[in-house]
Amino acid sequence: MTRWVMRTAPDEVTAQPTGVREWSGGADLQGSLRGLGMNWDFRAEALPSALAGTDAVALQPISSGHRPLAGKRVKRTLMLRVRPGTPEDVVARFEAELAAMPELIHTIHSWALGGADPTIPGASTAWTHVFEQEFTDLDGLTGEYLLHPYHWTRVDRWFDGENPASIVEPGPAHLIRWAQGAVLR
Amino acid sequence: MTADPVQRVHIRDHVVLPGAAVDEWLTGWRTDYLPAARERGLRLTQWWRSYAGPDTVAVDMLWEIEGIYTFYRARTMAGADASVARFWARTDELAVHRDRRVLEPYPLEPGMLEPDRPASADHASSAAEPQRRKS
Repeated sequence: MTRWVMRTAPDEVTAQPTGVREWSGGADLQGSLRGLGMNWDFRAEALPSALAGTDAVALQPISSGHRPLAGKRVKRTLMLRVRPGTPEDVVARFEAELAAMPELIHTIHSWALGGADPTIPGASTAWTHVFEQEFTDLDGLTGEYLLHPYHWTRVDRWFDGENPASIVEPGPAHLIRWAQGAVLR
Repeated sequence: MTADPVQRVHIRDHVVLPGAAVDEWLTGWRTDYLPAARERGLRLTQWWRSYAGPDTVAVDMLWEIEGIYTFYRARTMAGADASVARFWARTDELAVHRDRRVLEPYPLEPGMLEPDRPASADHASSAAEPQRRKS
């Protein structure tokens, strides 16, 4: 069953659609960028008709890690688009450098890097990748995650439009919300 | 918010240009790039010119900015400023090579350069520690 992430306006989705599992969502927290008001996670074979027209991304797993965390946590979802025409070996290096972040940044608990599958009917074609993490609290994200030198001396160049090494198009969506339990299993 | 552990973030720009184009590029850089860069909090601390070949010249610029959060804020501001993208697009049409590195200060401590002192490798050692299961 495919995992999906989705961003919507606050009143766009009012109930869990039929045929959807592991449904959870929450309001975008302050510090989110390009959120629409709410962000969601769920599993479904296909996009339910009730969610047609939303920005819902069907995920193809690339890599992930599981680190158990009890109770409430901060769920962070980064939707991004790699520039068309970027060589495959460069994209692979980008993916490997993102996947190495949890090895170095210890406030990251469970995480997942996925590719967007645009072939599923209704799935968003706006993004190519989604990078997700869970944190104990907001400080884990705004503190060690942002401040670790691996982040800003190395990984950030993929996103920095001033850097000739950048491959991520401007305007990724950085969504953060509270989740009552595990989202990344 | 966590206290910023780094007082100065350094950014090094390395641009290799045809020698005949360097002066004009620098004029454009002064008028089209530098003022807004200063508004973003970047301070140019040093710059160098060197021959990269018989007919190419490298320009190296070292910037500093106060702290990591300010660095991210400057990045966001640059990303929202179309004139920045235009400037680098023009540069990349002209440049033979370009690179940007963001550098973490590595303060010199007494005795650090003595030959018998073991190298500090905090980041490298933490990178080598297995932290979690990958699936």
